[in-house]
Amino acid sequence: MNILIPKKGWTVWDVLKGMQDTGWKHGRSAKAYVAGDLVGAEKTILLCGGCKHGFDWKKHGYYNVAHYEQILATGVCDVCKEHSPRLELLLHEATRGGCWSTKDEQKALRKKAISVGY
Amino acid sequence: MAKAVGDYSQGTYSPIVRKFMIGASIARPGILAMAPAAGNAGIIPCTTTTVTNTVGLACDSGTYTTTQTSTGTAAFVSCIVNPHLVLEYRMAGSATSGAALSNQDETTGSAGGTVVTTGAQWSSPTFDEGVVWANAGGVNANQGQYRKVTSVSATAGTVTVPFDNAIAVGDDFLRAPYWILDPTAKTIQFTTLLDEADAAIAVGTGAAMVTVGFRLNGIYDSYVLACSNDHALNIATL
Repeated sequence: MNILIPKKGWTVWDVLKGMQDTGWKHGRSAKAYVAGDLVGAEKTILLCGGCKHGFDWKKHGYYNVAHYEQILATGVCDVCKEHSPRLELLLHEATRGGCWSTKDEQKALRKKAISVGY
Repeated sequence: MAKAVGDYSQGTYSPIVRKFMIGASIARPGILAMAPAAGNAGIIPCTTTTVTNTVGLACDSGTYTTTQTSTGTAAFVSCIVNPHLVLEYRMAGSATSGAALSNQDETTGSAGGTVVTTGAQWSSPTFDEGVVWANAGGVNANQGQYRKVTSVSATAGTVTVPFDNAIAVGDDFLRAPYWILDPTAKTIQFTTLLDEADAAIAVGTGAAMVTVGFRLNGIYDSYVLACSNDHALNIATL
């Protein structure tokens, strides 16, 4: 069997390990590792102000609630594990429509329906 | 789909999101999760008629497995856990998600605007203390109005506060077994997929949910807004 070494500094063991452990890549940061696993499973992601840079949520197909609706979430950052009330909530586009109603969607519904109560 | 639309007690909506291990598969986002019962390895999805010790609304899905895996990402699901989270459920006309509500055509007319008489049963399942509204279709002079049903018979629902105009033969109405913050109607029965509200069941039947609002429109796009009435954080129930 020929094993191609794709990157300088990668050992054969690194390549084999990379095949076994989804998302793991030699030299990737913890941030990329966590985001890689979560993105692969289309999981919801929470990022604090210090960890949000470098994660391209548009590229990965995420809906950024803070970006579009100025709503911040409370929880634990998926990268640094700090608890914060000012996290960006990232919902994968494949799941967003099933659990989150945007402000524009709510506004449109209120406009066309008899809107009562909340 | 059940969607998070806000928090009933917060002026500014701030979702509280937590990741929980699952003790049963959560098939899709938009399902209410319950606290684990004895023997469960984690949170479990609600059933069509039960939501006890609500944890929150699932934001993604997860497949439960007891097989050892290299990553733990599939073993947890993120939930919005606000105790007063307001959820928007589309009203379905049966236990099947996507089913249309049944149009109720007036058969006799009511000059006083208080009795909606149709060919369908109003007392079994009972819609007493539910809501009735004039459908947007047709020539219904009461379009845009809703009332609380305060008594029912086999073929009619009666409202105490009359509709503004006389009810004419052929006017279309829709009905649902919910009323806002009403202890009699403090339940919602979910469809089989657990993502919509089965609006064809009797008032007071289903899981412990308290209605806080409506978006009343046509047969495919009417919604009930509700909060959990049995939360794991022990918020007082109605």
